[in-house]
Amino acid sequence: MTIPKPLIVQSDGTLLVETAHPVYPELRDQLVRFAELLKSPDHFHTYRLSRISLWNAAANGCTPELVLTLLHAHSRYALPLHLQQLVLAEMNKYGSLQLVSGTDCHVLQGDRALLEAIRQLPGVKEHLQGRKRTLLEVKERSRGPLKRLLAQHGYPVQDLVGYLEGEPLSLELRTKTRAGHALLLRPYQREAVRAFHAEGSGVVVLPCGAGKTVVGIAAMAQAKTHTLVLTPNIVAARQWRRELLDKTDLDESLVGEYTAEQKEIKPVTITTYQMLTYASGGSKSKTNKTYPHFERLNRERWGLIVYDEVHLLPAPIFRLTADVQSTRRLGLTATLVREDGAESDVFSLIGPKKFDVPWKEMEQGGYIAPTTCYEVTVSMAHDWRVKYIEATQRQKYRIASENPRKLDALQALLRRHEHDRVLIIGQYLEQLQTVGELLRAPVLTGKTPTPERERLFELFRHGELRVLVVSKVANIAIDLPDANVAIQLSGAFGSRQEEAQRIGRLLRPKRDGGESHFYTVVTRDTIDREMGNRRQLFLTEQGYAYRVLDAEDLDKPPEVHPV
Amino acid sequence: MRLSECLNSSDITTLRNIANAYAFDCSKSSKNALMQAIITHFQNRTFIAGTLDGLKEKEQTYRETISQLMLDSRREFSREEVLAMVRRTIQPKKEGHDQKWMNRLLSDGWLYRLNSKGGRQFYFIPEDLRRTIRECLGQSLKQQVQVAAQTPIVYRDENLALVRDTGVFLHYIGRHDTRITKDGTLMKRQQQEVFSLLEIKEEPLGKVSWRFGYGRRFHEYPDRFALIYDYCYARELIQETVEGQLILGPQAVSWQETGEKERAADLFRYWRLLYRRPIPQLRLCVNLLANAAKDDWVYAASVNALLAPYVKDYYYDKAPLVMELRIYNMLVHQGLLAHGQLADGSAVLKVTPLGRELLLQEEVIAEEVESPVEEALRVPLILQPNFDLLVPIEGAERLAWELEEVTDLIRVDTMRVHRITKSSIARCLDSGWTAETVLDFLREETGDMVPGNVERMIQQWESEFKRVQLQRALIVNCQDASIATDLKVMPEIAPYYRADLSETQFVIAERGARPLQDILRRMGYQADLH
Repeated sequence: MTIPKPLIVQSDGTLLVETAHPVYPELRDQLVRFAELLKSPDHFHTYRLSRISLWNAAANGCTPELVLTLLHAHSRYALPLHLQQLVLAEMNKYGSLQLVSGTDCHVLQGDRALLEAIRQLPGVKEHLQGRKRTLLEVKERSRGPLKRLLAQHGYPVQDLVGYLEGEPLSLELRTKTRAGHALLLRPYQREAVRAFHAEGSGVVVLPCGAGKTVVGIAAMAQAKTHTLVLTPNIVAARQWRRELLDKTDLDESLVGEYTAEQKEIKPVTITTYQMLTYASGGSKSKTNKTYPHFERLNRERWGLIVYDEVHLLPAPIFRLTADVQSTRRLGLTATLVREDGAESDVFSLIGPKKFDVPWKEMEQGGYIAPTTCYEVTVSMAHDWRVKYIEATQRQKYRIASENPRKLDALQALLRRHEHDRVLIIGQYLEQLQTVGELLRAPVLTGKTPTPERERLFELFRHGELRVLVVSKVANIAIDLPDANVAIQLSGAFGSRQEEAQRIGRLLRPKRDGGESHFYTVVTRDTIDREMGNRRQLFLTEQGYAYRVLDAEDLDKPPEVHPV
Repeated sequence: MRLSECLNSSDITTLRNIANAYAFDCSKSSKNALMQAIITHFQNRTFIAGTLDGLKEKEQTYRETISQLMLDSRREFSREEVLAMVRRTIQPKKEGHDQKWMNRLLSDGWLYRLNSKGGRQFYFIPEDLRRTIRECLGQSLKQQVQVAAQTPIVYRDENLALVRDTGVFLHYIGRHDTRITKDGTLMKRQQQEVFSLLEIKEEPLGKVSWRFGYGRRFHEYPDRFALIYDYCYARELIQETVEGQLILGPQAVSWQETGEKERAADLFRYWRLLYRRPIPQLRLCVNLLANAAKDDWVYAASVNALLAPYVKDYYYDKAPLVMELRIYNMLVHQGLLAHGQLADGSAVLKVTPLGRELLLQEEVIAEEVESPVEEALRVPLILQPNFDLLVPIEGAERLAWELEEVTDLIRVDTMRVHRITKSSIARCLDSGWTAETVLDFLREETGDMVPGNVERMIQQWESEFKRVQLQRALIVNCQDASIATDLKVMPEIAPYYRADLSETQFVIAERGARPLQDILRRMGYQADLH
């Protein structure tokens, strides 16, 4: 008997691939060219083929023949017809519309019927000028907004207008970091930089901990021009600055921080999304709204803009990004999947995907420490149970989350990990304060001033602090390289992005290559546990080993699990 | 019947006429010599091809009649059938012209009038002659269509999906209370439900202006489903009741028992009959198409040109649309034709293996019959961490019962998507499954690939359901303890006895109510339930 083929193609664009199949390793490398990896549980991985993923593929030189031939060849069942038509239609779309420069305007070129259809789309008119029938004359400042609009209507535009050169800057990567470690780009990092540099703007997709910052810095070293770096928050901004100074020959005086605390503009300037989207003047009357910081920064001649954590990019940034289309852009992200479905904005305004490596592969390459996830279930005392039952649906989650018995489990876990660096994460401040007092550990919240936050991080990083209690702030782009255990006491009401972030915390490569652990403590027979089930699903789909433990068993010696 | 048999059964005059028509050089008085001459010539492809080509110039319509006759799949014709065919092709129509042309067919040796056993006259085309002529015609048809240089990158062979979906529709009716409106249409919601279960997706009809002619319910349903419905109705697989219900018809069971190929052939015959009213030359069109596109992918546009003389506008449908929607698409739905697109977007057509079998009566080559059922059975199911269980469409039948118990069917796509839910597990635990038997079933069928979270969840649900269980029961209240004791031990009651509440009160299972009432009534006691 022949083995069934590995690929199952559903009509909604979902592709299931059997990972144990002998052709899987080759097939995977082909699939990531035109589909996004969505889930990677044990036996079957799920990829998604979408309009955007097909545009991305076409932008990288993939052809519909190639995609369809591959699908036909490996599909276990006949391919749904309309999916095949989708592949053909969407991939042929890319390149059928080109934006080039004209005199005093940009010109949108393409098939006459197509241009006519575009002329009729709502909202397009205001971006056009002139009356020519055979081509569309686009106002210069409409370069971004029009591309964005057309992408939303399902038309990808190939932007061939080109870029303005920024001020030159002498910038080299060091071979040995200032801290004294050897600096050598990993093969995939080199490949990512090369892919980005080959052509204009684009997005590099790398998992948390795979060294996205390094890729960004290497790209800067290649571009050698004045660069603006956008980061999600001030802590991440400082982290960038530290890394830049550590890994390049840039003088400290050339790297500026443009934040609420200091507003320096230097050849390399690091700022936050929040600064850019700060609006003044008539918050009510939308028309008079101005963005003083954005305008201030926009006056400089940047040759490159780096967007860190593109998947967190707030919507207003897209509008502003639409105005800087003449500058090269590099997006860095762990995933193109956005909770708000703004994938087409990322595509049209920052650029097509340039590089992607599946998480698991990184892990096998030893670039990410293996993580095991645990769910620790605890019981609830009678009085809390009564309280829980009587509470409204909304309160229930909080009551279950704050179950005091979680603290016993927490202490048991800490006994298990006496020699590890432990991060305790929670949603509710009161609970975190209690934990802090109980363990005599510092508590980091949104209110903790930045210097204090940085000082604590520094202590934790150097191992002088073993346990750190953090609220939601820890969720975004900060680097805690040596935490190898995280214990989540309570979480937001189940956002998958948040989950990925928390795991991402632990995935930073350890110098000793040791295993890391992610514990979630939940209350049995409550909505807390039900949320846990959703988390279990998400993590299983991400390909993590997942185990369920009873709090009562924690004091027993840990079982040895083969990894 | 072979040519030699036909000739043998004909009288010498017939043979002489044939020999004269072609001016064969042979003895006209020896039947044997005539037969030899005719057979030698007619077996010679060059001779046949030359003869047909000779007609091309002046007698195009006569050639047309011959080709229609040869492309037809019937083995024998009645006199009326032959005349009808002649009348369709040969213009102008004069009194008795049909008879005249039929005589010409006979004297040219294309057609043989023979007596059948019952003494009636029938018209035969010798099998071997027909094959030779078909090959010649096929060659010339192929020259009329444009063969694609590359294979298409987009294509779909629907295979037996139509037959399977007909089965799914019948299954649905068997399982659901299916309602139809006063006009006889399925309720919109149920339409949607049925459509979501079919392999090939169609949307319920929106607003359409004109829609008629292609079947009894064609104006109510999208093309493919309309065919399924009308077929089921015509073959009495379903019935519409006066009360507005749709139920299985008397033939449903025996239909399910026939082979898939047979069902497909029956559907094809039904379709050809149904669509003949709006497309009178349908039979010919299908034959032409089948012969032109049997070996290679050919451009649909060139097939359009080939069929153009035989397809007319039909009220709201322009001729090209009739070809596209009513002929090609419907043949694609029946798995007889594959429709493809080249990289540049142009449409191409090719007859499928099933099509060759049904349309051209070809024996399938052995390697193409790769026992699909056997194979499908061994393809494992796929259980995903999100509790979706994907079942191969062809193997679903075998597991129908288990799947129905343990899962809910969500939709049908490339595979059938079933889902394990809390309520589906509750249901199957109720009917005697346990978490372990469910998991055993899943492990067995998925090749031991049950995600850990699903396994844990099913066990968790089981323990949840066991924690508190509500059961219906009956309290039996007696005046004194001795009656209670007597009742409890009666053989009819004992199996239902559950527990004592007091000396005079005890509990029995609800199912025990009926036997208890019977006994009490027999004893003359009051037995109403309060």
